[in-house]
Amino acid sequence: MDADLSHWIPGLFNYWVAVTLFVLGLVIVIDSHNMIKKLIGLNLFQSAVFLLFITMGKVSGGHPPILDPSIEIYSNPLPHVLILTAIVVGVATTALGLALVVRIRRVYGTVDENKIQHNPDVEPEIIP
Amino acid sequence: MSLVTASHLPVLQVIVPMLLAPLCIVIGNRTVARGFMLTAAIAMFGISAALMAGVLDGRIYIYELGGWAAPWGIEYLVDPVTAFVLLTINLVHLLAAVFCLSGNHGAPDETARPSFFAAWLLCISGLNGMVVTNDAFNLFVFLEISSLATYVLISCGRDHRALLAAYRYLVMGAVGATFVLLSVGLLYMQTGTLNISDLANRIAEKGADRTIIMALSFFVIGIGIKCALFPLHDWLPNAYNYAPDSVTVLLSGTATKVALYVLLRFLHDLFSADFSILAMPLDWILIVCGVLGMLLAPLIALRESSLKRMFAWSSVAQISYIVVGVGLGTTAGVAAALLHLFNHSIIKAMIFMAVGILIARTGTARIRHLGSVAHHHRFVCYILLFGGLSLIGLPGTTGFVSKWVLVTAVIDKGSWWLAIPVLAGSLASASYIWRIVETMWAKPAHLELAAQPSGVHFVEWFPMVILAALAVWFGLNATWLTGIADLAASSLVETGIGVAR
Repeated sequence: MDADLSHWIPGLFNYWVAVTLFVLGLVIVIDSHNMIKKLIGLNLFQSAVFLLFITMGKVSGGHPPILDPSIEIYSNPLPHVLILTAIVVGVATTALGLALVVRIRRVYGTVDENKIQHNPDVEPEIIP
Repeated sequence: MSLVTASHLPVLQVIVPMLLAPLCIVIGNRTVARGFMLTAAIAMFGISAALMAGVLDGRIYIYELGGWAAPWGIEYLVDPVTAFVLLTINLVHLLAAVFCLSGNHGAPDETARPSFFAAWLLCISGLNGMVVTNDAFNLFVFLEISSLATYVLISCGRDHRALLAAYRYLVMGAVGATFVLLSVGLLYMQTGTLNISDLANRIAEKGADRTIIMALSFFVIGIGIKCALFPLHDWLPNAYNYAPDSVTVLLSGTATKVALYVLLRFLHDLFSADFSILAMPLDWILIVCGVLGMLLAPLIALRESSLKRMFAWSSVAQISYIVVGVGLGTTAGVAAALLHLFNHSIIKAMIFMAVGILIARTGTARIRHLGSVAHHHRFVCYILLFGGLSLIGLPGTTGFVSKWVLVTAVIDKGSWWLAIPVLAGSLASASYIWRIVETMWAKPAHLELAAQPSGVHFVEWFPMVILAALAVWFGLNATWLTGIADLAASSLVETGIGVAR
């Protein structure tokens, strides 16, 4: 690995951002009691991985992958295509999560996980 | 071994339910949707049986989507392991679909909608896709298709808490799937390919580097969440407990099993077993998690007040046996894992069907309310008892066969002491099975129990009896099944798909 700091920090800037977002998102998912905030954390977490994919598709000096005789180096379009799919999946997950939260709020009157867990009045007692 | 590329069977396995799912919603008729579900289930079972027959003739099926050859296009591959898992999940799915026709096992207005059946079809389509695909990114997409459909199915439970269970599973599942995505990304970064056979070859050439080790770690954690590997099982008891009963049958028989298959496939094929063990003591990590699971989960099951939740914890314990088999890394260990995967699929599906019928008839899942229930619902309770004995691993049941093979594999590997927790885990299962037997046969009856009708509808008992018959048959005459499991295990461990070309 290159010990040159000037390469390390700006050269890997996107990776640093990805790692930061990744950890931040995961912390929000684990730490937050608010169901909506949890989903926001989840989105952040997924975006970090998307960023990582998109970064690896960039070839230094490469042009957008549109065929042109004057261009010799192209960026790799495959990771971008993959992430397009993953973004759709992420949107679907968020939408479903929010739909569930809407219904949870309608039934329990709150989106705070702790209030649902610790307050027996909130939880309807239905068999089983 | 001969390669077959002309057959369309591998892709039909995925396409049939995926095309029928939107049709369910477009047509919007409940009866039609149920018909579609059943048609797809029968077709998929037929296809997987045909693929199995072909594989036993020494064929390996390869399907190139859109005619694009392997390293560029997406490829589906059916080899002995794939065929074994496909047959298992489609068998259970067919019977779960028949059971689902009896209807009354969830929130009535939710589970009767055509969209419920659409979600069901998407779920099984995604699961089949995860099994047949030989492309790492495609695997992630199918994982998400099946997971999203699963969250919807779970939220249809008869109780509001199903919503919470679905939400929690969604959060955990999405984290797991993102870990898998990250792992696929890191692998692509290092090798430049997404095809699993190609990845296997390139990783074997390159050897271990830090990025690939990270990919392996993220992958094991991500897929570990999906297959409820012991410390990552948190979502499972709630999801199984609050889901509609037919969905619990489907999930216990297919979803976790497919995730275990993917774990097996990646550890032994993509990262070859040597590599997985070289990079980190992954075999020991899996074995320790498995042993903890098989010892602790039954103890939690023993303390559960709900019948369904108790068997959900028992699933966590049984999955641990499969994980130990995977962790052993030997051919015999993988064969034991595959056998237990099949056995646990049919046994747990049968048990959850019986539990579902019992809950529908008595209106309660509280174990203490089920005193003397066996005198009114004799048939269902005997099925439950038989399932319980199979979980313990009594000789003459399928549970015995797979545990015997697992103990033999453990001793063959030279870690004889591992047989102790395996047997202790069985004893621990005996404790919670005994508890329900005692309640159902010997405890005084709860109020108003006798007032319930005790008849069991045809679509309810038929799949249950088929599963019970299979469990008896494979318990008494296990040669055929162990033969296939050995074939599948040796094809996975000794040759691998990368080399099979």
